[in-house]
Amino acid sequence: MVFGLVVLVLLLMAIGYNNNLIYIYTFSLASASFVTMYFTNRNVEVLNFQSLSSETLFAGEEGEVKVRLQNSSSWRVQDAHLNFEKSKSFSKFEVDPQESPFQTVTLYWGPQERGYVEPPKVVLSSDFPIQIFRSWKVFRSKDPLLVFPRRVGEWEYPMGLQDREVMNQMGLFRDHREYQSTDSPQKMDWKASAKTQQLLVKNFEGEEEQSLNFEWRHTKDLLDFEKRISQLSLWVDRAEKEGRRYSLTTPHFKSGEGQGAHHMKKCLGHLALLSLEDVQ
Amino acid sequence: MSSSLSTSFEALIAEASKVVVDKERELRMALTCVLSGGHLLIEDVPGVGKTTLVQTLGHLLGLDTRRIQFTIDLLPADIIGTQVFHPNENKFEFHPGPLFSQLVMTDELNRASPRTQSALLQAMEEGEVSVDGKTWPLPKPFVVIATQNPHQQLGTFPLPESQLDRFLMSLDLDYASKETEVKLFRGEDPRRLLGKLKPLVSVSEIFEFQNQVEKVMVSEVVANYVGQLLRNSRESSDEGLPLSTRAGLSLIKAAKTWALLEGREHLRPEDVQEIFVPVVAHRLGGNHGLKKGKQWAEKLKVQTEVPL
Amino acid sequence: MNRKFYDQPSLYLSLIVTLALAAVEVPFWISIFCSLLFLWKWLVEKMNFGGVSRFWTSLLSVVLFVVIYIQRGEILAQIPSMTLLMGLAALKVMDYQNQRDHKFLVLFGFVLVALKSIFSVDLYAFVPGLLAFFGFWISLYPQKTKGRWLLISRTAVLAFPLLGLLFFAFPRIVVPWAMKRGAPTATMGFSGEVAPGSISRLAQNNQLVFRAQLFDRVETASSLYWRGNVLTRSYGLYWPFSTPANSRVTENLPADLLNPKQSFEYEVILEPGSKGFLFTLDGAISVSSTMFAVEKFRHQVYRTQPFFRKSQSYRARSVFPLENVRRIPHVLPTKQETAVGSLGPKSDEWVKDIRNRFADSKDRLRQLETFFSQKDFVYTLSPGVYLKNDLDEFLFERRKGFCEHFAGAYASLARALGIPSRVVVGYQGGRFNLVGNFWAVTQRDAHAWVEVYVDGHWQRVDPTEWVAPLRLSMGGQDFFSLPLQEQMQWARLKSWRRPGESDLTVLQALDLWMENVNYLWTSFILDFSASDQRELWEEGLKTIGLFVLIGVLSVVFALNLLRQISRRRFRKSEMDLLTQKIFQWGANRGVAYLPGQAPLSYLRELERGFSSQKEFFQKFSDFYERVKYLEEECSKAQVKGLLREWKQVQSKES
Repeated sequence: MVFGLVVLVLLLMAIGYNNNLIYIYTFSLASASFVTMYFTNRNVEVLNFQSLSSETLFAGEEGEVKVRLQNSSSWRVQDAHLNFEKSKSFSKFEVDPQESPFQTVTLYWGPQERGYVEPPKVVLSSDFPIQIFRSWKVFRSKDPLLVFPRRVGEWEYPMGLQDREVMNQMGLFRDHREYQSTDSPQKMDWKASAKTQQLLVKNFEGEEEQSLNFEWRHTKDLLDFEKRISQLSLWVDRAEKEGRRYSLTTPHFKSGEGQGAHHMKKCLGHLALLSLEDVQ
Repeated sequence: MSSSLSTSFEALIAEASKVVVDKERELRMALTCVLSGGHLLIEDVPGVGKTTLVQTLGHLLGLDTRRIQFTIDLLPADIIGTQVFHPNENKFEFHPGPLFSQLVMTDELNRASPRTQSALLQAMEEGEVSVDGKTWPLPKPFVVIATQNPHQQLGTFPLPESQLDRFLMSLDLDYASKETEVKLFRGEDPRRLLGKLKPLVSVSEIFEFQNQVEKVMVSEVVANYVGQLLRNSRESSDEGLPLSTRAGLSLIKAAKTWALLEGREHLRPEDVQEIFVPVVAHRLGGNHGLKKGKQWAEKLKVQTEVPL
Repeated sequence: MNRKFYDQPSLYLSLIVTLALAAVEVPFWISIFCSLLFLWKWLVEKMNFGGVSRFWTSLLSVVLFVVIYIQRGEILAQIPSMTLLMGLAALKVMDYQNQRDHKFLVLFGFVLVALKSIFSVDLYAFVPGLLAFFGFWISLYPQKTKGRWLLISRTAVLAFPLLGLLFFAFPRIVVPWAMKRGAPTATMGFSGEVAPGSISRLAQNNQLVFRAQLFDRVETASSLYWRGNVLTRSYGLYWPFSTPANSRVTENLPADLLNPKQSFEYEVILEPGSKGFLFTLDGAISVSSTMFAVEKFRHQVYRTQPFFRKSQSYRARSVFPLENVRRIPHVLPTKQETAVGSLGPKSDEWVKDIRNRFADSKDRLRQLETFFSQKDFVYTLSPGVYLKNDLDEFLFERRKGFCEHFAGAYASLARALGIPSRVVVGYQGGRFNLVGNFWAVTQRDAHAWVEVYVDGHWQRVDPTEWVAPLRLSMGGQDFFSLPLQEQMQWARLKSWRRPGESDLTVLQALDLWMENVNYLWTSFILDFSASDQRELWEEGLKTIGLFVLIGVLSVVFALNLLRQISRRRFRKSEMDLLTQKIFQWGANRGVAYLPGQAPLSYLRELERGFSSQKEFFQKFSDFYERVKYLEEECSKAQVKGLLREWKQVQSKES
């Protein structure tokens, strides 16, 4: 803006003083700007939107969204910015077709609802090379992204969840640790506890293997439907993070035991799309 | 200059094929893996002849072969060995475990507890074991051929993704073909030949071969190709774990062995392509399993342009 | 994230150059102010001195504004605004921290460079100015930009034709207020009067006054009398400054005088400081300029506004040969032109004597000539001080003086003898530039001579010719660079030359060259006006197609060249090109080159598919493997050989 004003002032000066030198300066500035504008535009023009994907997105939290772009020309894109519409945070990136015509850019998005949610428009902009002119382009992804439910609620696992496994079969005693509210009374080492005045629990070899089986009914004391989903979501997420095996059961769904990103996606995906009818 | 081993390679394969019927490709891969000094992971259902494969290799290469069956109650000391106290001499003596062999076959690796698994994997990585603060070197060559059950089976501890990297290659053996099975049922068990197999190469020849592998030429074009493969794996995050630099080095190493076995002293992109799937399948697959990993590896191979 | 000013070489160098260029034109204190701030900033960045907060720099800006306003009484005129801009730019340097400050500085720079050209269009100012201008532009590109210089050159290649187009095609609007503004100060220049000592002061000065292009006309220095002002009031030795009255007479010029055979045209590019007099050769019949209004006065004196700050050009036409002068209509000598000033007693006596002895004005003039040439007058620039009426002292006692003394004395005596006469001040001669075929006239060429009205028309008489012909034949520039001794010694020898100086020295030649470049530049920049633009388009439209074609071609060529340079690292070798050709050939014949397929396996497929060319494919595969995978050196000849073979394969097929 100010730049344009300066060019105008110079032009007025040139006309005012009828000075060919100022004309030359003005026109140099004008033509160089024009060419630069073309470059700026090209920096955006050559990029095509490929896809928008996400690994894990929880409602109510900012999560990573990956945007894949393709540079269909030999122009080296530098200093390009990508952001969601109305979002101030942006990612800077470049695409050098000599290396690879593809570029995946990570953006952050905080969806508010679970389920398939349409992401906001993606704005690609650039003020390359002289940071005076700006060119931009807006993409809209046709495919909605799967957003997992909010992970909020009681942090501790439900009581008695691990009871079904028989402790003594699990293997050798390893060491003691402090009692947690979710630990089954069977695991308590009463003798040791009496000696140390601490509630101690026996740790066994291979305890990590104990699987957690989350069920819809575990959340029955929560009245709100969404809250129940969020609670399960939290537990699944926690179990996955702790590297434990777990399963999820809702009235019409059984995930089976498992662990790993794929398994988690299966469980959380189910929760994300759960509707009131599914549990009645 | 051509290795004596590469010339006898075909003979080796021919000999082994008599015992391990219709698994020539797997044999070649396993041989490449062993000669590269790398460890091999075999995933299969029980009873498809992996023991035979390992024993055949051991016999033909003249390696001291031992087999360890992994179970849930197997302790690290059971495979590594223990310090035993001799009251008479008033000192401890180390009794080496079954791991102290040149070719170790560990059956059903994922049945063992993670502690035992990691003890084995550490030994594989370092080529030595430490017991009570003392370090004992493992014999050379030291090759582990581990088998594991497909994931879905109950009562297994999957190997952590980071540990999978320690295996140079992974193979999955299939059921034998109809004809082979028929032959087998009629009593023509090729396994009875096993006892008659004579070593075709010596350990020193293996070392010499490995020295020559180091000298195989890797041109810039091929190095670029491997780099591109790695980069592409990192780009598509939803199709397998990204490949590490170590994976790239493993690719080069295996490809070099392959090339030398073919009698060439330089790499072609074709060599990389040959060994690509076995080398990266388990790394790409991670916890998704070898099957998935193989699919992704094939896809990655097709999607990556070979530089001109 | 903080940027450092002294990490941006193209910015700070450009800014320093710009400020230096601007500093020449404005009060001195601002340069000190700027230098101090620059130094301070340097200390801040390199020595970790304390800086100033933005509050203080803003406050200083306001103070600066007020100071300049109080000093100059205005802020929008050229000098105060330039001063203010310089100060603001320096203060911005103190603030310099981020991209925003950077852009501001660059904008200041652009305006400052452009402002400078209001003051001077000289090439010596323009070249550094332009460099600084580009420096500012370049500094806008972040240093970490990849391929920065390539991008800049691409921009330049694309922008240059656009600049040319805009420059030649942009309509020149002539607004009424154009050129009207100017600082009311004149620098030292041509003296309009003949007062003792005034020209001698000028003659010490080698400053350029104007350049003249006579086109194909060949003249000698001694024949070129550039008339400036005409003085008509005599006080003896002293002829005060006066401007002739406006010429209200509509002259009926004989039409044939405009004929190229009767008159010739020349172009003059006037440097600032001439007090608005337009110098013409004897017998000027027309003076015109596209840049300013020309006012015509009596006695063929031409003027424009007295004060201007940059070079201007005009065209004039003078009759030829000199006899034609008499055909130019003129007014008869006025009373003033015959009025005799007060002479001294000795002069009066001498005049009386001549008047008594000779009645004819031509005889009387001859007596005057004899008087000047036979009495031993000395031509010198330092004759000592004469008072205004010291005619007697000059003529009969000291007899030392230079052109203006001779001219003033001669004209006064001539009037006393009853011959109307007037003193003309201007320049004589000049130095011819062999390289550029033009005349450069400096203050050293300042001269004064006389015109007398005899035979019904005004004729030029130059008394200096009798006293110091060397000054006229040699030209003032060379004459006054001689040692004083030699000036006095050889003044009367017209063809005397300093021994061994007939050839140009390298330095002199270089000087001529530079002078020529400067002349070409100034004449081009000055000449290109609205009317020239119209002319160019009218004339040029016929050839414009060709121009456009050449322009487009050269741009395309330049772009390609740049692209080649940028691809150099990735440029496909001939080997790769051949490989691609073969693969394309295969693909056209139905052997697909699958994604992810390695070249050698594809070649093997080709071998199988086209068994008649098996030999070639095998050879090529082998070669490919050796070059690519064994990294053997391959000579161009080998590749060319293969290419030839490949062509044969193709021709065999067809």
